Amino acid sequence: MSTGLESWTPVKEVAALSPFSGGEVLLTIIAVVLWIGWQIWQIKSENSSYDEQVAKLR
Amino acid sequence: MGYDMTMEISALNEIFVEFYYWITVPLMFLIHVGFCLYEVSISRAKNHIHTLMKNAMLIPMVTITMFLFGFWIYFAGQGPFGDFAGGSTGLPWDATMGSNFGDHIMGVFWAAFLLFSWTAASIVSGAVIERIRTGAFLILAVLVGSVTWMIDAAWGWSAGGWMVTDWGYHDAYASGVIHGICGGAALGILAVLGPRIGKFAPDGTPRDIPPQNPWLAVIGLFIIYTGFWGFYAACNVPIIEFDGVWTATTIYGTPTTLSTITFNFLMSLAGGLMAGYYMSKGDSFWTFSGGLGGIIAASAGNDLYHPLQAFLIGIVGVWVAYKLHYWVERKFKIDDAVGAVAVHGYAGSFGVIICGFMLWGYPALADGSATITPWGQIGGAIIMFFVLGFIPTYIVAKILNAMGILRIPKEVEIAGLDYVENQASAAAGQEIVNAELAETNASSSL
Repeated sequence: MSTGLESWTPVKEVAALSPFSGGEVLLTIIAVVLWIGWQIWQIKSENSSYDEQVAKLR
Repeated sequence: MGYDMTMEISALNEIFVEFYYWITVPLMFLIHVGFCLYEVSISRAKNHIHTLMKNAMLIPMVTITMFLFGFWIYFAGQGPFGDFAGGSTGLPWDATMGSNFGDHIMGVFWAAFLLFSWTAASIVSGAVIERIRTGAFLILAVLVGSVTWMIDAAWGWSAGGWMVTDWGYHDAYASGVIHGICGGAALGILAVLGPRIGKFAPDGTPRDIPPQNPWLAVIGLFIIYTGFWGFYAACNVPIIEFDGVWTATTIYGTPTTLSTITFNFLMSLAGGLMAGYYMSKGDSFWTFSGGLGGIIAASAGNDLYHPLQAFLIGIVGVWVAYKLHYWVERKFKIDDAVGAVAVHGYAGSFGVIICGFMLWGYPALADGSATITPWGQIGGAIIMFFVLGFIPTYIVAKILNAMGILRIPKEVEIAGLDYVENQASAAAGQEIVNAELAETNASSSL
């Protein structure tokens, strides 16, 4: 059982070092969702924070 | 068993090149440290934390997007339009974009470009402090750091870019491809964002908003100078065989020497400092900014200039930037809080254009198939500053403004962006004082 590499020899035949090689497209999709989701969350959070501040300051 | 010395030298050369680029990355990290220090020091005390967080959070946003698509744009954009010359190179699932024993260097190249991307976004960050929303800025940071500058690098900062092959565009240390575009991008946002409250008197006369901590701001600029060495080093191929001679080359593959760029970096810095001091009558902010502007003005041709030419170009570039800064401020009511449009945009564009006259007729590529000309450089400066700099950020800032998420509310701007944190901090401090007083009273009553 191995998530990737089982032997370091012959080293010239070693390619991907990371585990679960072949899952890069799925990882990319997850990263895109996280990136866009984080930006949307940040803007919403900032908007609500400013709304509260404006209400206090008025 | 025979001893293959050629193979050993080749391996040593490869390891040296990998290490060379790798070491430029922490050096360039200092640029961001300097920018954070400089920007926070320029902002007023009521805005410090917001200013710091806005700049710091561009790091993850630009990093993830550079991994997802920014680096791919660089390779894909190098051929004719729509050709996607690089194929899958730079895509996040490409074998070279990961931990792969078949490729030892791609991550280091990526990091070198990424640190340029942080710098690009950070240049814009300083200009817009004290009134832009963090969320809007981070969208604009991704636009500049992972899209537009990568397009300009593909077009004008690679041996295969059409601006180089067709126009002979030359910009060895990124006067235009980093500084020109970022100055233009900052101006595009500022034109939509508007000035800080109180920056202009009712009759339109600009008021000075002094930095909170001038000496810390110049320490920030000193650190940027230090990081700039890493930037210069990263712009070179350190050792390569060229026509039978081992030499350093520019990113275009044209020969230069480390001696040349060391002379010219320091001489253009000296010229810029002198000009900044002279123009501002010894103002610390403009003197140190002048040093940076001097390097930026000479950078396009610092691979080939004589040191005294770099010195003079540094002086003239800062004179142009300083004059234009105040003219644009008065004429168009542009509030550029840190002079980023001037130091990067005007000095950089001047540097690209003057390079066309200074190096007129020089080969732009190693094989001599393109030649440096004034018109190629003028066209390049227009593309950098306006086409890829000003226009995209102006359009996106307009959209963000229409959505109501570009500028902070007026009440918050007046109270300070750190109003909530400052209130909470004051309340927490008062609570401790009260507790200490209660303890003192209890002790004295015993």
